[in-house]
Amino acid sequence: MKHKLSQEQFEELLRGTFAPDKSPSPEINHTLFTWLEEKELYRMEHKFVGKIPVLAAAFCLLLTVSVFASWHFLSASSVAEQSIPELSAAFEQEDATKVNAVRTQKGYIVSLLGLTSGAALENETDAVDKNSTYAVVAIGKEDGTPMNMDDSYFASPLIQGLTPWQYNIASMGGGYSQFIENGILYRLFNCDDIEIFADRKLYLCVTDTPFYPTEAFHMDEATGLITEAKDFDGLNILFDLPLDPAKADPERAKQYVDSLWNDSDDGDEEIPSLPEMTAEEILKKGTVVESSRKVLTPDKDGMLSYSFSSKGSEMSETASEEFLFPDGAEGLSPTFSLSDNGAILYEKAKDGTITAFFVELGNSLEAID
Amino acid sequence: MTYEDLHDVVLLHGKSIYSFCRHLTENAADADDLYQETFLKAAELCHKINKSQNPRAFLIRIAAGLWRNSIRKEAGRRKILPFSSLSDGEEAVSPEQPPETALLQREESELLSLCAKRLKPKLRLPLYMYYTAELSLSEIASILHVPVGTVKSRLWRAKQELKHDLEVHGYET
Repeated sequence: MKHKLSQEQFEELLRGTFAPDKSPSPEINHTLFTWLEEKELYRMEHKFVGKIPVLAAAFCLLLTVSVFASWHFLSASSVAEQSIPELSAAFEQEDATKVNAVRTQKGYIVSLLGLTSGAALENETDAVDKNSTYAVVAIGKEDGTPMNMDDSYFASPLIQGLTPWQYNIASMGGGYSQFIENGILYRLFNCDDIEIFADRKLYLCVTDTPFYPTEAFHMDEATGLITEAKDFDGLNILFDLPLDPAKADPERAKQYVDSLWNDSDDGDEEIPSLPEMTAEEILKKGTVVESSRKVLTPDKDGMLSYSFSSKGSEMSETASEEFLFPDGAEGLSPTFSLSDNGAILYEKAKDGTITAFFVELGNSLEAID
Repeated sequence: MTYEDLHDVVLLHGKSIYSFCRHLTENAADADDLYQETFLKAAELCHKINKSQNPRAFLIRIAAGLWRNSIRKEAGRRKILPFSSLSDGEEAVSPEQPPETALLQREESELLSLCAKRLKPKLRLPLYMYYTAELSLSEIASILHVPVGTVKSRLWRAKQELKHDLEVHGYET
């Protein structure tokens, strides 16, 4: 027996099947938020690639084999000199960990060149945070292909017993600068002091992904030990960080872990977040621009379009009625669009007419408290 | 647009963008990667995004571009997706419906979803952009660099192929 589907039912099936009903996990969004915040604060890109003279680049390609054969990388101190010169001396200190470990995997050659603490510097400087750990890694291609600044890599310390996706450079106050020299990418990065965890096994992971990839490493729940996932389709190297256990401070480490995911220390100031806003609040706080009211008529595909110019900027939105009024109820739509100075709101009347209008908020975030 | 604005885009449009990534990549792990890479790329380009225009369309453009690059790289080693991995146990229908209706609709949705995955990318992209990312025809045209009429005809062809596939599986449309 054949199941009969009318045109309307087919269209409904399409809309149901392909509806935007899958949400990213809170962990992914948290990682994104943390990363965006860190990027705003810390990221410093030094794109030296363009400065390599053409002749030198060609020479480098010709000599690729011998360069890699001798595993010659810049020293951690030289890398720091190009990024944060004040830090260079810290990598020369006796206290600094000169690792020079080299690993090859999946066509890459990766070296952990060194590790130091900002506290190792004798003279304080604004450029170096004495409460941070700094490390330098070099990443190259085994076949000599020069690295590309547009490719994404992730390098971060990991700590025995702390879930890697939660505790990595993105959440631990991290930042980095990087440049390419002779086809090799050098990255100097920092994060909150990890020496306090030196009584645990510490690692440095390097992957060819922009963020921490959850499938790249496994943590044994019983021992807390972290290992490379054999079946990970990409670079997933893990170096051991040989820190002196005498530098561990378990009490500070516990406080740090407790505080990292606890936002309650931010003070009493309430910062409004977008999910807490409702269309009703926007309507209450803002001023409706009456000239902006437009009755929306669905086009032949059932889509509603609205556009409005305010203070020199044009705003436009297109959405289906189902998207704006998922339960079909009349009144204000829970969905709205925010701009610099206001929001587009949608309202459904008893007779089903849908109207869109603009609400001026001045500074939209400050207006919502 | 600033990084802070991008933070707001995650909140406002994250679900729509993630759903788009999920349909394109066919599994949660790849969708996670594509979603994150999309925002990483957006962060690099955010100075070019005018937030008074449609940042969601910009993000969808980035996601589609990254996905196209990835399928070019993976061409030749992709395997046909097994039927059982389609839904990953997610409910595609309202839990308020009678169980038998819900089951039937879920089966229909799974079948349609499977059929869509077999469409050529140039038909699949506008389909997901229209139904999942809820972009207008003109926004899709702008992203794909084709006239609006071409978007309409690709959507029409996508639907015709889906109808045909449903008929093969015992549906009358």
